Parts: sequence; structure tokens; C-alpha cells
Amino acid sequence: MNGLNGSSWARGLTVLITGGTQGIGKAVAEQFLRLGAKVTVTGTRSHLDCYADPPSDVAYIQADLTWPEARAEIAAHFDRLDVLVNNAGRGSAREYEQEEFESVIDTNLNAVMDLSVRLHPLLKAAKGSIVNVGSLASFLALKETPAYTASKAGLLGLTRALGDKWATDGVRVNLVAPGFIATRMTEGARQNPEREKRLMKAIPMQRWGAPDEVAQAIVFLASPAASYITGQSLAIDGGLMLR
Amino acid sequence: MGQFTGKTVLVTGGSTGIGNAAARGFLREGARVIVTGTRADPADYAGTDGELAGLEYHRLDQGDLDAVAAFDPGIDRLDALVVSGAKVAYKRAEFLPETFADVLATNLTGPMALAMKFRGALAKAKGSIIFVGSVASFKGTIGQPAYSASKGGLLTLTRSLAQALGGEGIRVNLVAPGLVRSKMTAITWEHPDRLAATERQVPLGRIGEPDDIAGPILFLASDAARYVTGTSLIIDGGLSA
Repeated sequence: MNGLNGSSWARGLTVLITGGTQGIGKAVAEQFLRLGAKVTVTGTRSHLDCYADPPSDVAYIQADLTWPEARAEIAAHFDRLDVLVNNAGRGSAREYEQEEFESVIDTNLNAVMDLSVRLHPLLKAAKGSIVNVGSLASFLALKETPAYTASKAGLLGLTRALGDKWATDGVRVNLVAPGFIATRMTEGARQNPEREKRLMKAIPMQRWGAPDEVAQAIVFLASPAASYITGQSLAIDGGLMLR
Repeated sequence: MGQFTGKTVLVTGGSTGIGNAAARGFLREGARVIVTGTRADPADYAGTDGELAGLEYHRLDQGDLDAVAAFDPGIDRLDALVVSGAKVAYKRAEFLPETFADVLATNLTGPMALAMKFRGALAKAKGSIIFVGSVASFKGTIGQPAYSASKGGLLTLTRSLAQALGGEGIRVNLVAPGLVRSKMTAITWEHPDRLAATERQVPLGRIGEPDDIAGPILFLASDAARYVTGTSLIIDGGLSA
């Protein structure tokens, strides 16, 4: 009745995860598959096989989310949708260059707004929910990545605005804020012992998070157990933001 | 097999309202569940929203430090400590220093005493603490200075203990409900005009039910939240979004 992760609330639901081929997105796909949902993931490569270790039993849509046409195509693919996980995102080493800054904002924020608006009628019909994948950068500054930081902080505001706007439609909108998670995106830091040691000092739990630990929080927010939660953010960071 | 089979959970204020909904959720998921309440006997909760069947009941005034020290529920491992017991005073009573101190004793000092009392048992189980805060953890309330101060205090207590106890493998988190239909808040929701005025402000268009808070409490106590500590989760139908 509380819709915990072990129960059957997600059986037969339709779930879309952008960037669901690797890392956190892939872990989300696997969690929903385990619960019996029908899962579609997007990725930028031509086929799912182009990824090293992709999730199995998912439908795949190739899409570069920075293109409005690609977003329209994704939306057209569905006639029903229960859960939208806006997970695709990127950072770059050149975010102080204006063009790159705008490109990162396009992927991480503008695409999320557009895709959410396009899919809103289906989510409304299903009384579904959206979970946006923010970051500790939704709350803290990452000075080397101003676009990533601005986009993820913007995503928090977007979550709140859409949560309020669509509440009367029965569509809940929430955000997860992962800390340092062991994914491809953080591989550089994990392979640099000095840097890793410094990072671990900042985390009360003194370890990296696993993609699955974020995935389970996303599943919770999409579940009936969270039916009175909207416009909120949930940090999965081993306590990082406490310091 | 439930998600909490073989686990032991203690819920203070688990005899009614949010605490009782959480206790019953843990029970359904297979846990051994101990609850506390202020009345002498479980039968005294007949006619309330509390359902005590299957729960181990103990009387405890959590604002009384001697009573907390003497409290012995017969456990040496504890997987989750849910501190839901709380009080509020109406009609300007919280502006009186003695009432203020009394509310703080139950809502803040008692929860800290409970956390310290069960620290060893929680460490043994790599368990977690869930404090029941409130939207008043983040905002002042014009008529309830003690309640708001105590719930604001619980928020930073959550953050401090998450840092202090993280090394022992104990996670500490807080849920922050908005207005929930329970005995404590009856003064608001039993009045049709006040209820309508509140519901108009909530994006999801209704006040919360105890079960709306139980799900998030079970999530935070579960293995699914094993990398979540020091955080607060607002459950208010979007009111503060």
C-alpha cells in the first residue's frame, strides 16, 4: 500500500529515461525493469549496441536532446507515459566559452523544459510523475563548470515551478541531487588518488555513491509512497552537503 | 517476505497519527515494531486514529529525561529509530516560558536523548534515525514559537548527528510534513473554513494523510536510502515548492 520498491506498483507502467544507457540512467532503467515496467531509454549513439554495457530489455531512441526536432520525435514515440526521468546531462571543460556555456544549458535545462512540456498531456492522462536528475551543483558552486552549475540550479527552480503548475493535473515533479557517484563522468577524479582523497574527506560517509543508490531514490519519488511529495529535491550524497 | 523482515524498529509517538501510520507500515513489511505513547494502556487509544494491534506498546513521556533513561524496550540492536512524538500548544500558551520549555523538552531535548540512548544499538545494526520535523522546521509560525523553534532545531540536529554518527554507519534524516490530518492538528482541519483555506494553498489540493508521510519514512529507513544522510524531505503537497 505504501508502494515500496519491493511491491508491484510499477508493473506495466511506461517509463522514459533520457540518457538511460550508462551510469545513473542505466541503473534507473534496471530498477524499473525489475519492477515490471516497460522502459524506453534515449542515448546519443546510433544503436544501443554502441554502448559498452547497455541495459537489456529496453526500447532505444537515438536522440541528441539539444535538437528540438529530436525532442519532438521522442514525444511522438509515446501514446502513454507514466514516468519521465530527465537524466541526460553533460558538463564540459570549456564552459567559460560562451558557445559551450549555451550548449550545456541547452542539454541540461532547455531540453528538459521542452520535453516535459511536450509529454505533459500524456503524464496528465496517466497521473504520472517527472523526476529530474539535478546535482549537488543545484545547491553549491562548482567553479570550473559554470554552465553545469547554472543548469542544475535552474533545474531545481524548474522542478519547483512545474511541480506547482501541474499539481492540479495530478502530475508530480521532483528532483534528485546526487553527490559524487561512481560513473563515467567522475572517472577522472577516481583515477587521481590525490583528488579522490580530498573528495572523500568532504563526504561524511567517506565513500563514492553507486548509481543504484540514486536510482532507488528516483524510483521512490516516482512511486505511490511519495504521492504527497511535489516540487521537492532529495540529496543522495552520503552527507556531502552538510559540510 | 517484507522489506523489514528480521529488523527492529522503534517509533516514538507511534500510537497515533503519523507515527502510527509509519509503525503499521513497518509492521506490514515484516519488522518487529515497538511504539511509545503517553497513555497508560494501549486500550486507552480506542476511539483515536491509532491502531495498536501487532505493535509492542510502551508508555513514555519523551520530554522527561529520567523516563527516557529508564525506558527499556528490551532491544540490543535497532535498525530504525523514528522520533514522531511531539506536542504543540495553542491559544498563545507557547509564549509562556514554562510552556515553551515544556514543548522544547518533548520535541527537541527528548529526541536527542533518545538518539544518544540508542546510539549503540543503532550502530550494531548500521541503522538509521528519522526525525519527524515539519514545514515549521523551515518557517516561523506566528502562534507557535516553541513548536517552530523545536522543529527548526531538529533540522540542524539531523545535520549535526549525520556528521557525528556517520562514522558509526548510522544515517540520520528528517521528514518535514505539511499539514497532516492527525489528532495534533485537529484544531485546523476540523474547522471547515480553515480547512478550505489551507487546501486552496496546497498545489496538490488536499491536506496530507498520515500514510502520505509513512511511505517516505519507510524509504529513508530502508536499504534503498543507504547513501542518504543529513537530508530533509518535505512532504507537503507542494505547498513550499
